[in-house]
Amino acid sequence: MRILYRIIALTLALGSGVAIALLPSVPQVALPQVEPQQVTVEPLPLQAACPGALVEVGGIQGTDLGAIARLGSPLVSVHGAEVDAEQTWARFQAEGYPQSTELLSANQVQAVDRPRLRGLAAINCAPPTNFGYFVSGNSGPGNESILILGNPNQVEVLVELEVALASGVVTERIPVAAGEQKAIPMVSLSSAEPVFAFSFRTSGLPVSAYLQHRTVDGLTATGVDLIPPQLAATSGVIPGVEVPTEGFAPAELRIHNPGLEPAEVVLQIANGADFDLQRIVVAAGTTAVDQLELKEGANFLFYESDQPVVIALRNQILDEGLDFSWLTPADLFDQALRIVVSRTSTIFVVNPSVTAFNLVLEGPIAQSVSIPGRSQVAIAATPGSYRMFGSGQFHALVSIKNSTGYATITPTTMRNFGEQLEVLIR
Amino acid sequence: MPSLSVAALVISHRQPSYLKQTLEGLLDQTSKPNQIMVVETSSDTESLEIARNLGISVITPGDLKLSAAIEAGRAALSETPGWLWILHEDSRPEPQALAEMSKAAEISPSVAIIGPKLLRWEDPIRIQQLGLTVTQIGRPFLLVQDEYDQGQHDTEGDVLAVSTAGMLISNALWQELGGLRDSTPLFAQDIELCLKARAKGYRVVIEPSARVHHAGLSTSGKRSRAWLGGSRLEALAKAHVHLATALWPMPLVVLLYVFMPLIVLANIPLNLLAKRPKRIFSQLSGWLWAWGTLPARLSGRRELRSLGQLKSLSALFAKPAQVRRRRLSELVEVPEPEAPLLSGIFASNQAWFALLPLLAAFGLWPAGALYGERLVPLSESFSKVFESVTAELVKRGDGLLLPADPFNWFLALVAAVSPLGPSFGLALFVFVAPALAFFTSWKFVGIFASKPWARTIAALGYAISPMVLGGAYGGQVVELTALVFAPLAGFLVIKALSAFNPARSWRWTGLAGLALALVAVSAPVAALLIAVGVLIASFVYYRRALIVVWSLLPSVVLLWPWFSHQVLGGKLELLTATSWASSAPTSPQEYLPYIAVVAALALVGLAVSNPKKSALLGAIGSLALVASWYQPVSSSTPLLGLATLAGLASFASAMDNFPRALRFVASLLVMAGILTQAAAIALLDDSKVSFGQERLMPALVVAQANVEGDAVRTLVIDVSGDSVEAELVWGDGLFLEERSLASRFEITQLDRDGLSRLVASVIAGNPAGVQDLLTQNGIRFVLVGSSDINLLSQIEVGISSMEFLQPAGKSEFGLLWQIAGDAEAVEVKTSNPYRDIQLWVLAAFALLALPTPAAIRGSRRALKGER
Repeated sequence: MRILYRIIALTLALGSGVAIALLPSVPQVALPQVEPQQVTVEPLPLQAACPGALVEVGGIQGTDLGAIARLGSPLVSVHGAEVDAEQTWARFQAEGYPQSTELLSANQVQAVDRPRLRGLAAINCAPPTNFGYFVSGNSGPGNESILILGNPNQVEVLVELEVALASGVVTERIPVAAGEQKAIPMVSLSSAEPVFAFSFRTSGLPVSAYLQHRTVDGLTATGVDLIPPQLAATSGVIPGVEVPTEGFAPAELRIHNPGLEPAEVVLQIANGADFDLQRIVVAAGTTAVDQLELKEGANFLFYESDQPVVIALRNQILDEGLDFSWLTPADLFDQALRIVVSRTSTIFVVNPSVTAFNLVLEGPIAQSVSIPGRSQVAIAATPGSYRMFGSGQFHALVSIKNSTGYATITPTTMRNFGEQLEVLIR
Repeated sequence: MPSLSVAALVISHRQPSYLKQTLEGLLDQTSKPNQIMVVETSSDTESLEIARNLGISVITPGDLKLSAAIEAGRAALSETPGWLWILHEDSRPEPQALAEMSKAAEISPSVAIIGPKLLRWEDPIRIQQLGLTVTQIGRPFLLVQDEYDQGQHDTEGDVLAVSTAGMLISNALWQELGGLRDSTPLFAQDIELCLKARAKGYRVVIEPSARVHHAGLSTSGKRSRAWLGGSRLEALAKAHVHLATALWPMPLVVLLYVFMPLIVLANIPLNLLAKRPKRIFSQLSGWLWAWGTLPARLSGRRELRSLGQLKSLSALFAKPAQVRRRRLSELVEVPEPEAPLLSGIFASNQAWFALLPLLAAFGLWPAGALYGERLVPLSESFSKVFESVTAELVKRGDGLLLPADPFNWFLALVAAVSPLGPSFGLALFVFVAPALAFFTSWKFVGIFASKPWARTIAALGYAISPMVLGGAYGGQVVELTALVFAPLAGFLVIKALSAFNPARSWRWTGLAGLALALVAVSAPVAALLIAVGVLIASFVYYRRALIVVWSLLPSVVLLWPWFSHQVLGGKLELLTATSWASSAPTSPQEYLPYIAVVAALALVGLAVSNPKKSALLGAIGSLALVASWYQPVSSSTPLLGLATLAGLASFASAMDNFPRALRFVASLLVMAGILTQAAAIALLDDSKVSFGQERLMPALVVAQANVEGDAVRTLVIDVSGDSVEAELVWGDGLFLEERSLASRFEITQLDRDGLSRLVASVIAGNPAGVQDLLTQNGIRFVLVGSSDINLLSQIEVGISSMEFLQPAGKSEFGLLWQIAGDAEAVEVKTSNPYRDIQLWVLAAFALLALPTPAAIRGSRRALKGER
């Protein structure tokens, strides 16, 4: 009997093991699927707002406390809309779709030559937004940063600034009346710290926000520039980093990590076939500053990060004059890009993919160029409206260098959310 | 010599063997009755033959009740006797019985009814009855019950009543009173007759020197239920009601009948506490019978009270002290088999080993609400969690009429016992589950292995197995519940089956029923396996089988709504799972290395340990392993865990038989393996759970939902590129207990075209028709989230351009807008049709499970012939 029990037990154990091994697995019960629906919806009209004339604080000598003056008027170039001469700061709106730079594209260029403010400032007129970062804040000796806020809405907007300083975070709320534009010197908010980053946020309604930078060396003005707000991203490309004279002044790289985790940023600086690799770790909530010794010629910069970061590069050149420009990552275009060039310029186009593609440029100068993978081309452009498109995606930047100074225009994607959407109702 | 004229009437009903001995006893009387008449109510030929062979007159008047049978016997007597000696065929008088009773009758002329000392038929040194009375509330009461006869009661005299078995009664009185009333319940007939005699001024006495052996066929279930008018307990309940009707003052009788249902209901928990659930049915039956036969009860009362005053009789009622003594005497100490030294988990210091699984689970230290692949927080309070138990409305889309998950009962239990909130309680359960599994499996393994160290090895192997510890790190709450409680259920079932008395068996059954219910609501296939085990074990331990089989009731009741819905809907696959939180099906191959090691240990056990235990564990393990194959909806982890436990128990059982040195080496090796396994899971495995806050929606939505409940609707939109997913969320979100496994297999009924247009327009900032659609759908809030903050910023600009959407801030769930103006009110009605029934069943089992003196000390078994 004892043997019998043991035989039963062993048979059961072995039998079940064999059964499990031999039996085909049971298929899972399939879940019912809800099909997404294709919905076409008309997006909001495209808008763009320019910063307007450059700002001078403290009068011509800098001794007029509290004085804030707008200097002259910039040259605004626009495609898809008309410039309203009545407006003190240019705003545009274009309806219709598909939305792209073909529907609306605008930029402004202004040269200035004052004792305390000299140089060339140019910028793409971007759609107003409710949120953005500026990483290029400077308040040290010889540096001035002025925030230019414009409210294109019909109602007042409260803009909340959050300035990330080495000593902590400072917040400030600034009301901007409907249709009003305000210039806010950042020196008081930044506690005169030489390097700072800050963000702005509204309760939803968009504002136009730009940061004007001015530098002086002793009594000599050494440059002026405008920089648009940015959003944090984990990757991007900065095209057209020109270095006419190697070793003149290193480019200053700013990386701000707005998150709660440290960010590891890997940079690839390309110059022709040469690539240089750098790794920078940025602590949470801080701004890292790095001096890049770039090679002579046209460089471009790839970056990738494990956390969203805000990145900008200050490039100072001594060519026909001394000036600088803040370069920011350029948007990736997968359809035609319309750029209006108002001065003789160089258009830099970067192919971020590993395969070459053909780029077609239509405008006063028409040409077709093949751009190898992970490389950049520079195309000389005379004033006029240009349309560029290709068989692949690309980044672009317009660089202006002349006797009045140095400036860059980074075109942005002009598209509001909508048009064709795939909606799944769970 | 007594000079009484006595006619002995023997009432017989198809019990020839007893009848023969009774008649022989009659014939052996030193003082012989003048006449003997046998009334055979079943016309049993063998009985007739016996009587005739002994030269005794016998009649067969047909299947009559006791009173009619006595009347038939009286009528058949050749002479009218002075006294009637009524005997049942199972009451054998000793030779001096009639002589002693006759003496008592002669001494006192006022004595009209005399009863003998009734001794147990099989064991005549024990008194079965020595007079009857009633308690103050009218319940029949034995003055002496199951006591050894040492002459301690031989001085007894006047009593309220005596049994008809062996009763000597004046024939004149019998005639005057009209004998027994057949409409009176059997157990009250003799008391009623004696009460009548007392009312007329006659005495009723016990003559202890007259001894009659009584088998008590009626009360030991050897007669048909029709004879008793139901079961023994039913007959007792009816007798109680009848006597109370007769003896209580009229106002109290009215109240008794009016409140009888309440009294019966109020007695249910008391009966359950006393581990006498059978009384519930007898009292229920007694109530219905009393209401149905009220005229007969009142007629009996009138008849009794018309004979004289009853006030003086209260002196003969049982005193409260007597009742108390009887209750205490029913509880007897039954010596437990001597337990081996250090057998308990605490006494043997093995409980310290529970720290190992606790340490291994340290990564799960509760730091908030648990989140996992299928884990979200529970509602904030027990009442909200309890609302979802057996609810028939799943709060998705327009509402789905589907049964709630049976697992909600466990979630409600966690919510009820957790002072820091339901979600924290659940997180705490996951943290301590491996340690709990150690305790429960230690108890289970104890059925098969006696050595504490061996039990600890097996229990640790189970607690840190990939199924238990890995399940905890995987956030498999449902599977963990089954794995923790299945060994306990198995242990309790065995305890209930092997209990030494019914009270204990009922208590273990109560506990087993609750534990099994927890297994059933978490892993129905595992519960089914245990149920099959219960049924098989019932054949082995058949004495308690009819009690233990009740342990399946809570599981059946809890699963019934779910099972009936799935069976009627033809979704039989869903019978294998019971919770939205059940993990996805797993392949046994995932656990192959561990199962292979356990299988090797199990084979050692099967070869070495007790063959019967081996066969049982082999069967459990094999069934669990094979059953784990069919899991089309949820994980097979619980079944693989049970198979593992069977294997480990088999090895532990074998370790009992190992030589000391081999046991030491084997323990070291297995312990090393266990520690490695614990370290591998705790340190190397990626935890699939995280901890977070208990809210599922922004605070503003929660606040609004606290006021308006589920009528608040939030359109939750998740945007990723040009793909958008949206959901209409009710109230403060869909918490774990509000999610239904059944709803995963149903598509919500919604106006998807309209909602898709609404969603697209909202995120594109196009106001055309948006406000109307929001109002029609009762939407109060729009919540938009996206992992792409740039996109989210762009959408925020668009939505903010619509004036009727007021920005309500940014939260961890996304950007929130509140809709200005009033939305159409949405009426939400939920129902829990089965919850009360299930709750009552669980409460009944909880009462059964509560320890009481009857369950701890053990109550005396009902003896044959006892009332």
